[in-house]
Amino acid sequence: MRVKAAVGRAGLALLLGIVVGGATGCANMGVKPWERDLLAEPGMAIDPDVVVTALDEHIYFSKEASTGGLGTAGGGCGCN
Amino acid sequence: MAVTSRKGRGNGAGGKGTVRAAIMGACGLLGLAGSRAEATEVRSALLGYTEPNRVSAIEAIVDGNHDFSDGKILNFRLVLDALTGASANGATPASYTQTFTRPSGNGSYQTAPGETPLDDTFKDTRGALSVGLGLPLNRMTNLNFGLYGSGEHDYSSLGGNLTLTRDLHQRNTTVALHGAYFHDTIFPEGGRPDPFTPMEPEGLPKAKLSGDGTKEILDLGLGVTQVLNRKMIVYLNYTYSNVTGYQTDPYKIFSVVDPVTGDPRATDPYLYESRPDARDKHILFGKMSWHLERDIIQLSYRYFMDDWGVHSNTVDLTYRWNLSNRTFLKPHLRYYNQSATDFYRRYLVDGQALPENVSADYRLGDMHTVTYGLTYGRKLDSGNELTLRLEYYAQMGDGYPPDAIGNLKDFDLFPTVDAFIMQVGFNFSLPE
Amino acid sequence: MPLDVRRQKGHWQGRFSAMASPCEILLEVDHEAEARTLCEAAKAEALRIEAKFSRYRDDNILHALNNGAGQPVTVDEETADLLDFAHRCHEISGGRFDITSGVLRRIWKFDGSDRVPSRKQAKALLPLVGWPKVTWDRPRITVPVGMEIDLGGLGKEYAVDKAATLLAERTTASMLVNFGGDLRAVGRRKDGRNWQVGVELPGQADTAGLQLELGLGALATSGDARRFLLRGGVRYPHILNPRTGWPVMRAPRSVTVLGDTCTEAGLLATLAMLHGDGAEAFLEEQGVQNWVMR
Repeated sequence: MRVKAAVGRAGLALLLGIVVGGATGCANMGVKPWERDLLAEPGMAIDPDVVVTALDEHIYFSKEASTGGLGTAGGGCGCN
Repeated sequence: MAVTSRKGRGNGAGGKGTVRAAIMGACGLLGLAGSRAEATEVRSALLGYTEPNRVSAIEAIVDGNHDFSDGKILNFRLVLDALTGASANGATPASYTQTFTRPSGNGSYQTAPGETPLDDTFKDTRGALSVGLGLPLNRMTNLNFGLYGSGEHDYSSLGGNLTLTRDLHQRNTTVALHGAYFHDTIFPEGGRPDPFTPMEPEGLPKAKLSGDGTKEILDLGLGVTQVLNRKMIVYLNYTYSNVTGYQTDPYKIFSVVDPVTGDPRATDPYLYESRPDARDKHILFGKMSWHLERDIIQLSYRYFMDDWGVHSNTVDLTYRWNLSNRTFLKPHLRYYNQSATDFYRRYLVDGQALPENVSADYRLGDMHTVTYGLTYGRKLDSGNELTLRLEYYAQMGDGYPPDAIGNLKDFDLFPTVDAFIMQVGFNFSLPE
Repeated sequence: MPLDVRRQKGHWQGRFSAMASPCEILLEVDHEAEARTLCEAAKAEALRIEAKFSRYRDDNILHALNNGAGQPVTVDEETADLLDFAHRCHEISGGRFDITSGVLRRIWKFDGSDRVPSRKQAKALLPLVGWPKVTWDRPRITVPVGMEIDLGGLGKEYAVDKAATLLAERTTASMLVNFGGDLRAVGRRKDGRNWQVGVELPGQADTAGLQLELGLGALATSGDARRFLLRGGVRYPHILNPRTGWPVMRAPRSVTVLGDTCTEAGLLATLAMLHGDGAEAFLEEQGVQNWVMR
């Protein structure tokens, strides 16, 4: 129970940090177009392997009660 | 004087050297659109999943993207999977051998004393196809629409989705609006049992709901991607999902036990479950990619909440260790916990009033899961990539709740489910 | 030279002079009127860029910032973008690419003769070379007295890309923009065939040199063509190292690179030359199709 609450709180703090950071500094944050060398690497993409995401989403959708995040929240299957 | 012609292999990502990649980035600020060569990228994989003594599955996937020179992108994905093995039917262990009827009504199976009842009827194959088209509306805006269809012997789904993305602030920010709709049809083997009616012995007809079940899914989402600096990029996304229609699992039952012994009651001990026909979900997801000059860390968190009472947290961490320009090792760690739905009951006690909805499906209960994984990737001379992924997944819940009654105190009411996953992937480009 | 438009086999060809080079545009359009309008637009863009960044004029932004007497000069968006680009290229190339190296022209005249300057002369000019000595604070640039910004190393390739982009915005027809051997193809050929391109090689002015096929993309060549010095049997290439004021002695005779844009290809070709005998290794690492002549 304690771990659950701690993880939940830490996670929400992370998200809140991102939202506040984004809201206050979006226009000033970022890089010049020629500074995108590292960002352009395939390993940096938010979803670096769509196939792994699709396969994992199917597994977790079948075994857990939650959906969504990176994978589509819908696209059902009758997974037992 | 001799002229030598060569095609360099490139020491960086995508076969481009770091200097070239930097120059291409620099060219971007001069507004010189690079001529987009047409290209087709294909990612394929074969995955094996096995829960020892339970379910095993094999899944094959092919995902292709074709870039047209005018900026349009066509996406195509085909998934095929086959599932076999035994899955918990929701009943509790008993101190004697239990007999259950197969979903078709023809045949039955037995569970030894003290064992978790598993229905091994499940053999299913499924195919899913999705096609999508990405259209650049202007230099900073993109529209993507897709169609999806899937079918298996007792379930089919048809749907579509639409995504609008817009880049801002010199492409440092991307905002995405997403909508999707699916219509699913459920036609289980043996028909849909009437909720709360008893599981009948084999050969006897069970009370059924008429016709096929249907459910409709509507998703709406908003996402933001933001470049923080040269090495960090974050993504945040909120999705609302609404599901209406038949969401009960037609194959799952729950035990009604004797208040003293904890064993199934004498008459009608197994009843078919019932879930609400409306579900509202809220999902908040955040992910960060952090480049450490050679390696890359990715960390994500997802918070899920719905009106069935589920609250869940998911933390996912990967570390891409670039061994060289062409090979990498990627350890993976995922931690998940969820709180049970309001209508989850491991079992009901004889004499207790029947709640409006009840399910003993362990996947709706309080649980936490852990995944440990490792991926190895290698770029071949041809530029194609081979990957090998191994993962171990464990699901754990409270097997010995303090309020277990009678003999149930002696049984593990939530045995840990272990699964082993192995995946081989092959990514390649088709010549143009 | 006035614009000359004529029909070739399967396409229209427009020819004119700009940036001291013979320029040609090949277009797979149906009507002469359309070909002419497009060529006029491309020619106008080439001349515009030439006028704006030519070091031979005294009425353009380049002259203004080179004669600011050590004071800041405010530049327009396009010039600022080019200066940002040059700055980034200086960083990427580890200082090898430097738009202030033009002053070395005073002692190095690559006319095929044997008039090689002395090391002492080259060293004397070094204090006037070096991009870091320029203060670039967009949109203001301060060029110290005696120093000179020269965009000649980027100009032609940049003009090719700007003209090609401009044409591609007006039609999806397949076109090849060729300004004196730096070229770029845009659009899709009707029957999937590619443009046949000949690249002139040094010492082989009469023959076709390299025969290549180009579907989409850009080609740029950095080569000594007729620009070199020869003394005591030693060839002095016209590629100068801005840090020593001396040519990169073991540079290849010619480097041709295939890239996505002409500016990119041109820069990679120039950088390859600046790597001297490491040119082939550099190009190998960058993953581009290249032709090196030694």
